Amino acid sequence: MVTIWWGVLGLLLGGYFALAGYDYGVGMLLPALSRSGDEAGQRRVLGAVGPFFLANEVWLVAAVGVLFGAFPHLEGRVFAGAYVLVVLLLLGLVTFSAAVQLRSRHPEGNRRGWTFAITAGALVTAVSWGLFLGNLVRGLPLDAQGRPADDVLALFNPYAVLWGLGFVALFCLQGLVFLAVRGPVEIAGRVRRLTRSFLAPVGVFLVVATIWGAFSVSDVSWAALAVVAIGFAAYSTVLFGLRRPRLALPAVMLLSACPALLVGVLRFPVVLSAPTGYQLTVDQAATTPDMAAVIGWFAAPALLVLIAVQWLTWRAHRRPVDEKSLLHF
Amino acid sequence: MDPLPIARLQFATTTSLHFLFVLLTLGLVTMVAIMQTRATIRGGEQPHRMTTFWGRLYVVNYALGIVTGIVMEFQFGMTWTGLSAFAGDVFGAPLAIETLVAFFLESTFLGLWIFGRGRMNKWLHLAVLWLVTLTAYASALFIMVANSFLQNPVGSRMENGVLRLDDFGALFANPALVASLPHVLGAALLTGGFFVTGVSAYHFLKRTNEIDFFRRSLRMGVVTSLIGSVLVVQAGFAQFAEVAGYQPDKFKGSAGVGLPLGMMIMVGFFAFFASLIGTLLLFRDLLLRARPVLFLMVPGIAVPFVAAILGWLVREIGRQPWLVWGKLRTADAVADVSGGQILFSFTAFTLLFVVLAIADWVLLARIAKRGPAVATAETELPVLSGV
Repeated sequence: MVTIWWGVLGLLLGGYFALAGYDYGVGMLLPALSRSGDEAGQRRVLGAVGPFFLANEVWLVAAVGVLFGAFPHLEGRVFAGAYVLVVLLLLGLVTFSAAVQLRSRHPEGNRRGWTFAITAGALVTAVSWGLFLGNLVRGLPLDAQGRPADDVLALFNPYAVLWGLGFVALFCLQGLVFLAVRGPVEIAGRVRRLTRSFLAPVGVFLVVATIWGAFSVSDVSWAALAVVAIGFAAYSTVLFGLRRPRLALPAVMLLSACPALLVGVLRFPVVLSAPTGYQLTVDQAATTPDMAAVIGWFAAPALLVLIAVQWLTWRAHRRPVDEKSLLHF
Repeated sequence: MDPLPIARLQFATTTSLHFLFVLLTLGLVTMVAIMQTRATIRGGEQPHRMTTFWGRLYVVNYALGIVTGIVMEFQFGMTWTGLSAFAGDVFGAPLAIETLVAFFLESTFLGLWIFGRGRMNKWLHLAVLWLVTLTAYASALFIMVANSFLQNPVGSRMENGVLRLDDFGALFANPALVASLPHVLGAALLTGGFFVTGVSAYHFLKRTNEIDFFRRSLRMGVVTSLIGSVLVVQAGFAQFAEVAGYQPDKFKGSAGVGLPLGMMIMVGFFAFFASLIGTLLLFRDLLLRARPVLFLMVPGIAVPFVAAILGWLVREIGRQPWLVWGKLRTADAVADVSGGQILFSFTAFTLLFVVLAIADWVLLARIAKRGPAVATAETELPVLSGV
């Protein structure tokens, strides 16, 4: 039962990165994709993400809800242990999400500030996620009782910084592949050029993070190796499938979900471990079985409705943005 | 540096701001849903335009509700780790269900509503908006269930130093919930009603050409305010009997609670009488000519927000020093994060939220002032969602 809930958490987090990752990519690249004076162009780029935006972002909300409900003894350890990173992440997320939603609401408003907030917010979000997950792979700086070590700089170790930079490249690539499917035709050439320039950094990140990780992480399981293999297979599909964006898009979405899935399998059944020897197992982290069942009765139908509705949204808005597309953001 | 006061201040600031936005969200979405129902059943130009205009304001307000909500959700794990360790097995469920069933679905349906406009069957589109409304109310229900559990931990027992669930149903029959939920829902309707009334009054003061549009809006705003204020006052007083049962000393000799309580009651009665007078003046549209009354209605928009914050203070300050009443002290629940780090996050969140909240309110004011007419610049772009 506990394993199933761990899987549900993985599904929600993986879904979040697979979907929201391209939101952040498009946000970071907004100034590079259309000139600052070209308001109609910027609206069309944002319009590509538009119909999916609200639905994408809330996968994280649901994931944190499951983390709190099903694993109440883990949530506090993780968020308090990486306090500064979680704060940075939230500052980025809030700025990005609010700016996307508010930017285009007043027709005569000045939008430069909002556009900057979108780009900066997306960048901070991407870097913070990389730093956070990189630290989870390596082990959070906790003391032997699982309390956060009062050492902020330990969270910015070189391995985590590598992940932070890697996530920027990864989300940018994801955003570009998304735009190749759904973006307006007029920027197709620019999207292709930018995609090619982000392929190499992402590849370097995957290779270096894997090799470095293999040396710094002990007891790597077969499941972790399988996730790494899936990640590389997804990357190759993107690399060789660029001319067929409808194949490359699911591949790059899978690739973005891989880091979170990797953390999930590396941290199972010991969900939290620190270099000091502190360990928390999945059974210690989980709530009682009857409580988990109560949440399950609500969660299962909600998730089914959700996946159906989001699938229909995708079907309805699968064509590139053109004159007839509905723009909102 | 002692982390406790800063962590409390951080949570209070985030929650207060969140509360201001979701209260209007809840009230406004109900009214927009009724407007769209009228437009769908009877047809006609005006109800349709009303749905668009008030829906536009609703969407702008919603943005800040969602972002402040995310930060609140994370804060339980960031600074109140003792709470999840001690009561997570009970308290976690309503919170998890709130995010999964309500928050998650609400946003998805809202996206569907915004982008389904004119593309979707009109009955289906209406159903989607009612689903947004329903999930917003579900959200309020589960959050109040969680909060009421902290006020009065029913349905649970102590076992090895932590709380365990006995009876999930008891969480919904909690005396701390039964009167406070209608009180909060009444406050939301009152907030939405005062907002629509105030904006409509502004346009009459400016001698608008959209007389029919704002006459209909004003009527709806005033009547909603009356319904909301009756509910808020009635459920407000009903709470005294309930509170006496589970927190008997709450209102005795504590100035921290007494002052906001007295002010809230005054504001509540003021809102009730103002709504009553407004409703009476609807007779033969007397209200449209009563300019002094219209003049008061514009700043009146702020009144329910003030009352809501006061009510929030009464409920939350009144239970200190307990986080879970009688079981877990607030001081024992705070995380082992250093005071300096919490001070950093408190400063950063507060600055960001204040800037965003002001930007959001300025945006709301500008859209509200512009009225329902669509500007020419907007029509040059491709198809816009309208809201």
